[in-house]
This record gives sequence, structure tokens and C-alpha cells, in this order.
Amino acid sequence: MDPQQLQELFAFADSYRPPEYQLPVRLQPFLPDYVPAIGAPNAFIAPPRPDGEPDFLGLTVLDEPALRQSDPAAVALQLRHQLRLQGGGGSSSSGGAGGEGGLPPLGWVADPARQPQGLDDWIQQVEGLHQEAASAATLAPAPPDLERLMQAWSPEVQAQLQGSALPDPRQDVDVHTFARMVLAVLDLAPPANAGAAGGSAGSAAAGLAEALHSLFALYLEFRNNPAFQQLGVFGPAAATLADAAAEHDSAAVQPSLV
Amino acid sequence: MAAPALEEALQRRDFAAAQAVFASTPGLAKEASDQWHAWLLFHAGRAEEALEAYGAAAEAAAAAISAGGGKSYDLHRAACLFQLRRYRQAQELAQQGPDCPLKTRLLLHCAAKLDEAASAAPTSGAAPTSSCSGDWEAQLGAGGVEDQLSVAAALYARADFAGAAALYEGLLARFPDLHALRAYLALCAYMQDDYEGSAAHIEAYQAVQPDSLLAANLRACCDFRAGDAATALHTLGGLPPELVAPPAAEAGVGQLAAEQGCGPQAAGAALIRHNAVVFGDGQGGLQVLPPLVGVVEEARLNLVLLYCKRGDPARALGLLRGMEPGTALEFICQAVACALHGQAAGSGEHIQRARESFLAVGSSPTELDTVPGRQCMASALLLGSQPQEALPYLESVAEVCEGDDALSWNLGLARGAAGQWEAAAQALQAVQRRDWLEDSLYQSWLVRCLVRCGQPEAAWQVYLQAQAHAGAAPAVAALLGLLGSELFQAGAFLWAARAFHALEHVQRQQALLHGGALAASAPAAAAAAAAAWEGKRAASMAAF
Repeated sequence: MDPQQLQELFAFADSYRPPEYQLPVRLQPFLPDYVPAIGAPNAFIAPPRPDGEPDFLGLTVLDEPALRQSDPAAVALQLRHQLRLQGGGGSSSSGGAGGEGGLPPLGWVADPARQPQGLDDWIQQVEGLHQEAASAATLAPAPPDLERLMQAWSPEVQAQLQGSALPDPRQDVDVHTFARMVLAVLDLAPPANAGAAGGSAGSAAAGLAEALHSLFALYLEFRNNPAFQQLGVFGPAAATLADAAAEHDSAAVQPSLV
Repeated sequence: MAAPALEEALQRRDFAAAQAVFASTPGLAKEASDQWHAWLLFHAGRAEEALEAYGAAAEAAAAAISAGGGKSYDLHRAACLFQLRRYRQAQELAQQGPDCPLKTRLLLHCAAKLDEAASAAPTSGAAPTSSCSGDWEAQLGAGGVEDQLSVAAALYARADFAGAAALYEGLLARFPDLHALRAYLALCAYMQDDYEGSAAHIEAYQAVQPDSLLAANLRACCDFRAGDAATALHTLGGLPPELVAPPAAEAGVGQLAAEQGCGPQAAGAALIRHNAVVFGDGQGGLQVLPPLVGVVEEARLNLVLLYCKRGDPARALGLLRGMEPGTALEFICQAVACALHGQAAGSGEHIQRARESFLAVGSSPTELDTVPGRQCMASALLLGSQPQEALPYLESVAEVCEGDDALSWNLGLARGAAGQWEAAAQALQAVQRRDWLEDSLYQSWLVRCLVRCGQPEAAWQVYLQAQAHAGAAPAVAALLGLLGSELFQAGAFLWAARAFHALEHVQRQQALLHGGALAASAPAAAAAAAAAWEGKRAASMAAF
């Protein structure tokens, strides 16, 4: 390659002017951090308590609801329960139904499929309430064991019973007194202090009802017992009579228990 | 167990139970029951419903012609309005109420809020106290404990945190039983960036009242500010799960409940959900935050920031529409959204607005020497194409903001524009964000800086990465053109020849890809090819 050509080639290099690139400046803005929310001090502009009592909110404690709030429905249930207890002491007929009209509906879980937790909570609360009610009832002495009641009396007592008459249903006494007489003969009378435990007049009747329940349970147990059936102690007539008496008694006692 | 009596429920702040007691107590006078209903709603943080209930109570009072307390319902309703941030209405209503300390307190706080909105542009410095609210303060300052506490809260609202803290300290020394004051002191300390002091105050409060959502939340915020977001999240996790969990399945019942602010813990739950997003660096924010706008004060700005981070400045702007910025942060958020949108859409109007907002913050006396203030000045200058002027501001915060990609980017460009090639390349190479690394503008600047500080091979690597990611895209061709010409100018002719050769290759690939579809632009393509060839020829020769 001769120098002439070389010179021409190098001229390409000398004459080449690369294009100028203008690079723009683009801002990448500084993004502040996210701001947590902390609230603000109490401005003491809250309306006063309607009864004019001081509420100390914002003074001794922050003015915020407690972390754990009761379930309104559960509280309503409790109140309903209380009202019922109180009502039972007053007049036996209106006890249960007294406040019913004004009470709010029971709570419900809007969408149990989505909120299994909510449903579980609700079930637990209601169960807890029933447990409380049940434990209140078990304060009364446990009913006597039927097996024990079915044991034969000692021969002396049996001999005594053979000789004496059972209480006569035609006596001129009211159902309550008659029931007590029958129970006394069978040694099933309710303990004297049963009424005092509940603290209201209704539980005296409740004690009597429990004793009668034991009596009838005992009666049924004997009647259904194959041994006694074979003996033919409970003839058709006797059974009907006893059933009628039972119905008569329970029908008379039952309403006062509600 | 007996059902909780009313007083007991109130003592425990179990407003849900108290509500149930009232609902189940028949025979209460309508006015009284409305009043209690409203009071309980107010303290459960459900001001909207409380407002309605007080309205109902007022009507009941009017119907019963018990003229005595009828007027104070105006004050009660004003308090609800204040809680709902409807300050103007609250002020008007409060003025109709009977004169009493509550009225004065309400008017003071309305004025503080309205003042702030009217004249709190950071350029004007501290908001001047109107003579009126000064009178009220004097009047209340001599009053009872509640009045003095109210004054302290007003000081806090006007960002005089030291003044508020002094008042609280004094009162706490006189009445050590007022434990809530410890929590207020914690707020003051927090706002003065004393996070350790704040945590100590909160601990003192929690020792007395462990059952506090606000305290637990503030504690978490302190942890977060101290740089421990994980602990902060953990603290929130210790709260009842129904408060922390995002609305069930982001739809249906949960969503509705969140929107309406139902439940006795509505306000607290909103706060917790909001902060869980903040501590989680915005995670889940797109679902959680929108319903909280207007419920939690900070939610709007955080959502704006989230939209900006996710590259959706248009939505951020939509969220800001109608809002007059008051605090520095509000100005910054607006400026950022405008800048991003203006640059993306090429809207000069938005860029101008962004510059003004940035300047407003950067030149305000309170922000002059803060990091955000300098960032704002630099941003305004960069937006105004004055990168050299922006450089000193950026350099002054470079150390504090080390690791911030935005700083690396802006600093790199500003240094590059000032001809500090090596320092510029260093800054640019510190960028971590993937989408920014793939930005063609970033690559162009990096290539130029690398070539000009004598690292042609590193520059070539930048091209190779771009090529690997984008293929034969026009942006890659442009990058190659720049690379070639930069290399040629720098005298790295062999590298330049390589670049031009690669450019030719890319151009041919593009022509093949697009076939005849771009026939119209054929002359341009031919010219580009010729330029590439010329460059290649010259560089090859020069290499000899």
C-alpha cells in the first residue's frame, strides 16, 4: 500500500467528527420515608359525661377504649339472664317474660364461613354464660342416688310401714303441703335450707320440685323394673292412678318453677 | 358473675359493655339515652355517629322543651366536628354555644387548626398566633388543670413541642396521679426526635396502664424511628389480632367495616393497620391505605409516597388534588409527585410547580440546614437544568444519605454535568435499583463518565449488560452510538471501532426484525448506518 493511499485513509480518521450527544439531566426525587401515625395529645374538647360525673379520661388514663372490649351481645345475654333471675322472685307468672320485649336481639356472626374465629368466640361466650348458670344451680345439694333409694328398708321400718296408712290424698290440704307429706314419709323431703341458698322465694319451690322429681324418677324406676313387673305390684289400675297423681302434681308445681 | 355494672364498665373503658347496658335498660328517657349513646360513641372514636346521636339528643331536648342544656349540644356537636377535622363548621357551631371553658377550648383549637391551614406555608416560618387565640390561651392558662392541658395541646398542634412539654412537666410535678401526661410527654419527646426519651415516658405510662393501644403504638413508632422496624412490627403483633390483621380477604365484610370505621376500636384499629404498612415499608399498602385516607391523618401522604414509589405519579397527584400543602412534608410530597409526573409526561407546567414547591421548602428558614431542605434545593436546581448549582447541596448530604439510590443517581448526574467523571462514575455505580440500572439515561451517563475517566472496558461492560437485557433495541443502538463517539473522542480507537462495528450489527438486526414495515424511515436508517460505517472506518484507521 503506497503512502498516498495510506494518507487518504488516515484522512478519514482526521476528518471524522463524532456526533455530540446531549445527555439530559433527569431528577430522581428524594422520597421521604413513610410517616408512622402517633396520634396527638388530648385537646380536652370532649363533651362531659351526661350525668355530670368526672370521667378522668385524658387525665389519669389516655382517652381510648380499653384494648379488650366486651362483646355487646354477650353483655346483653348476661343482662337478660340477670333480669330473668330478678323477675323470678317477683311474680311467678311474669318472671321470664318481663323485660323480653325491650331486650336487643341476640348477637349473630355475620359470615361464619369467613370468620371462623368470630363464630368460635361467640360459641365460647354463650357456653361460658351457660356454665355460670349451671354452676349456680349445682350449689343446691345433688339429687339422691336412685340406686341407693331403691335399697330395701330395714325390716323394722318395713314392719312399721306395713302397719301405718299412707297419706290420704283426700285430705283438705293444698298440693304443696300434700307433696311435702308424701316426701316426708319416703324420707325424700328437701333440706330446710334449700330455699335460702338461692336467696329468692322461687328456690323454695325449686327445692320441692327437685325432691318430687326424685320421687317420680324412683317410681318410674320401680315400675319399669322387670322384677317388680313380674310381681304384678303395679296393676293397670294402680298405674293409671299413680300416673294421674303424677300429672296432677307436676302440673300444679311446674308453673312456679319457670 | 353479675353482668358488669355501668360504672364498672366505664372505669374499665369498656365502652362496648356500657353501650350494651344502655341498650338493655328499658325505660330510660330518650334524651338521656341519646346523650349516653353519643358520649360513648365519641370516646370510642366514632365521631361521625356521635355527631348524629348528639343531634338526636338535641332534638329530643327541644321536643321536651327542657330549655336548660339545649345550647350546650352545639358545643358537643362542635367537638364531634372537630374530631372529624371539619374545623370551620366546628368553629361556627361552637360560637353559638354558651360561654364555658369547654367553648373556649374548642375555639382555641379550631383557631389553631385553621391558622395552621391558612398561614403555615414553610416560607412564612412559624405561624403567627392570632391575637384572639392568645386571649384564649391567657384565659385558659389561669384555669383548671383541663384548661391548662388544653393549652399545652394547642402548643403541640402549633409544633411548639418544647413549650407543650414544659407545661406537661409542670403539671405532672403537681399532680403525679395524672398518668396520661406521661404519654403526652412521650409524644412531645417523639416530635423532638428524642426517641429514647419518648420510649422512657411511654414505659412509665405502661407501667401504670398496661392496657393501652396508643401507648403500644407509640412505643412501636419509637422502635421504628430508632431503625428497628422488625421490633416495631413485633410490638404491633402483640396486640389483639383482629386489630392488626388487614381486612378479611380485602373484600366483603372486612373491607366494609374498615371503610365505615365500625367496631368499638375503630380509631385504634385504623392506626395500627396504618402503621403496620409503614413499618413493613409499604407492603400491602395499596389495599390497606386507601380506605384509611381521611381517617388517619398520615395515610394520605403515605399513600402518595407509595404511588410515587410504585411509579404511578398520576394517581398520587389525584390524591393531592384540592389539598393545600401546609407542612414541609406536604410540600415535598406534592413536589415529588409533580416532578415525577412532569418528567414522565413531559409537562412543563408540572415541572414548574414541582420546582416552586421544592424551592418553598428548601429556602424556608426552618428547613435551610436540614437534610430534606438541601435535598429540596438540589431537586429544584436539577429540575431547572442547573446541575452545577445543585452539586454543592448534594455533596453536603452525600455522607448522610449514603446508600440512597436517589442520591447516588442525582449526585452522579450532577458530578457528570460538572465534568467530575471519576467521582460521577463512582456515584452512579452505587445505584442498586434494578429498574434504574436498566434506564437508558442512566446507562448513557455511566458510559460517558467511565469513558472519560479512562475506563473504556468498564464502559463496554455496561453496553454488554444492556444488550443482554434489552437485545437489539433502539435504546441499545443509541447507547452504542454514544459509546462509539465517546470512545473515539477519548482516543480509544480500537474500542471505538468495536463499538461502531457492534452498532452496525445491531442496526442490521433491527432492519431484519422490522422488515419492510419501517420503509418510511429507511432513509434515516440508511443515514444512521452510514454514520456508523464512517465512524467505524475512521476509528479503525485511527487505531493504526
